[in-house]
Amino acid sequence: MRMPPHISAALDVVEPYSKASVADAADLSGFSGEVFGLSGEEFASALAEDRKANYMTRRAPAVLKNWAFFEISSGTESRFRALVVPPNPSGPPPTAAGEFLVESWVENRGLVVDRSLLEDVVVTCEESNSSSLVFYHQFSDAWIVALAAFQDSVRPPKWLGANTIQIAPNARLLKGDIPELKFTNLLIEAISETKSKWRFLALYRIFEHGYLSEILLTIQQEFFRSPKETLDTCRNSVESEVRQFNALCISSKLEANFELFLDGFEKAKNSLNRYAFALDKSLNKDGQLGQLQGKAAKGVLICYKIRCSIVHSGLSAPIFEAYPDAADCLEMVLADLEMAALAFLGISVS
Amino acid sequence: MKIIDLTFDERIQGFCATVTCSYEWYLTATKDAEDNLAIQRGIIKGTKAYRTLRADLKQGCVLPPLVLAGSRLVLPAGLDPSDIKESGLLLKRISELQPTLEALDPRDTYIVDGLQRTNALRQTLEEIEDSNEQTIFKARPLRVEIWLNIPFGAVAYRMLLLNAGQRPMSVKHQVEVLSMKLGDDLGTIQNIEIQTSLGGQRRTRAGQFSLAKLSQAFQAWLQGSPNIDVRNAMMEQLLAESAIDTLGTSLSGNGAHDDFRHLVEWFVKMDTHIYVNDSQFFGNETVLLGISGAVGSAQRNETLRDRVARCLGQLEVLASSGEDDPLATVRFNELRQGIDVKKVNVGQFTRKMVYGAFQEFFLSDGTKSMEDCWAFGAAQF
Repeated sequence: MRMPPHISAALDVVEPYSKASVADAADLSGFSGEVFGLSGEEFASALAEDRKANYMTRRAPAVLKNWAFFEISSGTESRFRALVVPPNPSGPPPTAAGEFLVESWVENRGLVVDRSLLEDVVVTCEESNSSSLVFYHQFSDAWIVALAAFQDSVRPPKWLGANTIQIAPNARLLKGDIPELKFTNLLIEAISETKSKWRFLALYRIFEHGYLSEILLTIQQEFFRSPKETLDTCRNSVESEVRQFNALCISSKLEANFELFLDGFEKAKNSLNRYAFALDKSLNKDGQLGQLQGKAAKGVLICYKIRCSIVHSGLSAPIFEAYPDAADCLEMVLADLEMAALAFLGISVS
Repeated sequence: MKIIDLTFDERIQGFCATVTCSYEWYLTATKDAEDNLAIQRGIIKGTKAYRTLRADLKQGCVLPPLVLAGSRLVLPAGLDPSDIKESGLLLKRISELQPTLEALDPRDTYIVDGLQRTNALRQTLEEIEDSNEQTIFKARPLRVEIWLNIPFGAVAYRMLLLNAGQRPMSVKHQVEVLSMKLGDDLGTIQNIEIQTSLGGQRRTRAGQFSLAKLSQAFQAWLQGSPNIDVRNAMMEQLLAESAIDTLGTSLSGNGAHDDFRHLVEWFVKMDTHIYVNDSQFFGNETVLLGISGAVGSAQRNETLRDRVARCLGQLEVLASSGEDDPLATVRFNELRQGIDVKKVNVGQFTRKMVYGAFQEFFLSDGTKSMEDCWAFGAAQF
């Protein structure tokens, strides 16, 4: 078991260092409980972990009231972990966070001073062989700043309550096969937006970028099978944003997400939201709703229309700012759009 | 050492001898008495105040009286509280007690008030190199109060009361100081085996409890709360006052009884019953804290006090009747396993769950099953 001198001194433990003797020393001294919120046994187990990882501690980008801990994984492998130690914590950290702090303390003796943790810092750990480290750090900073912005909010973004961010091995987010499409930047922008209408728009832009990648993919995959038809289909898609969006929804298997989106919108209507009613009326007047098949397609259309109402100021949809309850309507659909965007990028949160 | 007075405390029903002695006598009488768990670390670190005290001691300053408690003392035959009211008899009793206190055994001596001063004396003596100066230092006079054979609860009560108005000795600190005496007192419980920290032993049979965990359980019982690491000064004060109430209640009534001792007896009995199916339950510090906090909290309530005895008795009867899982520890472990360790601190959750479950059990007067109580406790978090 590794035992740096600063830890053996703090615990007042001498060789030989067995898990049992370290656990006893940690319990006896009260150290593991007071500092890390761990039993002696949990402390000793964390110390015995031998990860090939790079631990860092720096000033937190925002002040949080409570502990915040999350982990980014790819497949079954942990790639990145981050923990914010708040100023004056009101209670012990979650157990997994406490164990993480012990691992970090091995590498960074300055993390604990006089039986107290450094406060208002973020402790990170990146696995040595992982790529995309720059993204992980940017993401964690944006996540922490968003947590701070929403910590007194009654309706924070759904993903903010997550502790595990699972990125699928072939996730669109980190693929990088089309360098012009910066999904990582778009995700960080969306996370950083605190005002609901700009967050909606930032999330929508992820899908907009998706349209183009889908069209390119269709050309790459289908062109040599039937060149003319492929180009006609693609031209058709490019000319209609709703059709592009719908095609994306189908190819990326997001139907369930947009059905939920529609449910949220219906809920807004049922609560007599004036903005929702105006939007619905506009869709019926245009006849667009009647042309669509399926609940998901309707959800896609409404999503598109909300986007137009924010961006175009009345030309193709009601003016967002003209309705005092427009933001309330957004709150009822944003969570589903967030989940759809994450699913599109190949991310699941829990 | 010379006894100069003998008094009787009506509240805690104990005799107290006031003595003058030399530093040398005092340090011999208290040798290793401060050898106690984490407290020693607190002493060794030292503060500026105590560095200043040691400097003052070298210059011959007078220390305020220290307070000790002595156990297993052979008291004069027929010693009675009324003896001290008549001066002739008082002097006789004092001279009869003199040899007993002169031979005070440090193994049976506990420092109620003055741990830091005792250590300051010891460290100062070690720092004096000149043998003549050492002789002079050791001969300096000191006043000490010695409580004679008073029960553990009374020692704790007196100590907490003494420190309640003072700073900065926390309740936790004081309980740790008391822990050796606590171990002594509880060591006579049938089938108990108290493991000291230095042994580093694991539980290998029912009835084994570490002294450190029992000390913490005592603090939780005193405070009526499973959270013993309190850093808020106001909260600390309230908890200290609450602890005094608990001990005061425990000392009063017909035949003062030690509620905490009875609780530990219950731990031992229940552990004996369930150990074969779940050897970890009563070895878990958070379980002991949770139950002790719930019992302590309920016992200071007039209505709930009787229910506690009834409910714990009920569980004991259930266990004795051969019930496989009288405390529903299977359900308890299931609930713990369901914890998301990224969101929740397991220790804190368990303490609150156990506390909530037993509170609910007492409130329902045992009509609710332990399974339901565990679910209730888990939902509180």
